[in-house]
Amino acid sequence: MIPAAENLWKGMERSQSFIEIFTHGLDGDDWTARMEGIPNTALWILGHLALTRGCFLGLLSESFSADEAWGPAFKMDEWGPMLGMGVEPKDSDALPDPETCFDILQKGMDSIHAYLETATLEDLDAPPCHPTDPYLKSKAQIVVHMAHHESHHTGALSMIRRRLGKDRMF
Amino acid sequence: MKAAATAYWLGLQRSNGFIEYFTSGLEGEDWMTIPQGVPNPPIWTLGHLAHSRASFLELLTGEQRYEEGWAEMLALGAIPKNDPQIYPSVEDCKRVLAERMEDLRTYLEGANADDLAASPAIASRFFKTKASVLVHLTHHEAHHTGVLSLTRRLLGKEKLL
Repeated sequence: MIPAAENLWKGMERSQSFIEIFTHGLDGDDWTARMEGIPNTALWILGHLALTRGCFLGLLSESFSADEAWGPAFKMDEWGPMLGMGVEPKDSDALPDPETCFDILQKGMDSIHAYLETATLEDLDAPPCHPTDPYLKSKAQIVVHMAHHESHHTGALSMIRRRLGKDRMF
Repeated sequence: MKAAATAYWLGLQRSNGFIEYFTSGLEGEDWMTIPQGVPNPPIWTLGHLAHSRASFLELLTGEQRYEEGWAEMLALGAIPKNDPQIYPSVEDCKRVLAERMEDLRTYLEGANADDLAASPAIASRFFKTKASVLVHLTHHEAHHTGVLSLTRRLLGKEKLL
């Protein structure tokens, strides 16, 4: 892996570790608990991150879009209405379970690592495969945004943890 | 800037953009209000992020660019005071954020892969390399903007995303 790609990978490792830290100790009804003032449940946030990791991967390489192993997380028509950006949480029973979400998040890590392992500087400077936010002009910016978007959502997870009376992580 | 450092500069631009975005529309008493269920007022978070940039800068360069008296109120784990008026002003926090960002840009412009792989300039039990300091810096900021986003909503501000 070239140094530029390695440093992007470090960002993904950090956001993945934040997700693991701030979901640590959640179990059972914790995942679907609704709290006044917090629009999303922990399960919605986890599912949203699984879905969006797949979406961002599709901006890095067409090959990810065609990869059936990604399963429903890559099918916006299935998960998008439940877990897409700005969607308010609905019936928790309809959401994927935490294990499925964690599995998809891990598949995402494996896929990003595989992409970065062979990526050149030219690849990272290239525009995304599909039109997206005008700020995201290169594939390097896609990886940076993907990782920081995930860490952003762990802020809400930390609030949910506190309200549930879980131990403080920092 | 060398390619190895660019990822960190992009990360810093991204987290800085999140801070600007998720504090937009906050004004006056909003900054001092602690909504129910949130541990800190937005001014604490903004000041904490500004102070933290100086802490991370010290790990990278050994330089101390702290604002006098901020650490006891705004460092990691500082207990929020009941009187939000004791915190620095919004303008001061934004000034310090901008100044430390410039310091970090200067550092990154001179950094190569060997420097990023080196140990922090001062001993740290959390970080083995300067690269790990930089990764944590921007993700720490992104994490706190998640709390700012919730705070905005609790204050009745419009939903941004």
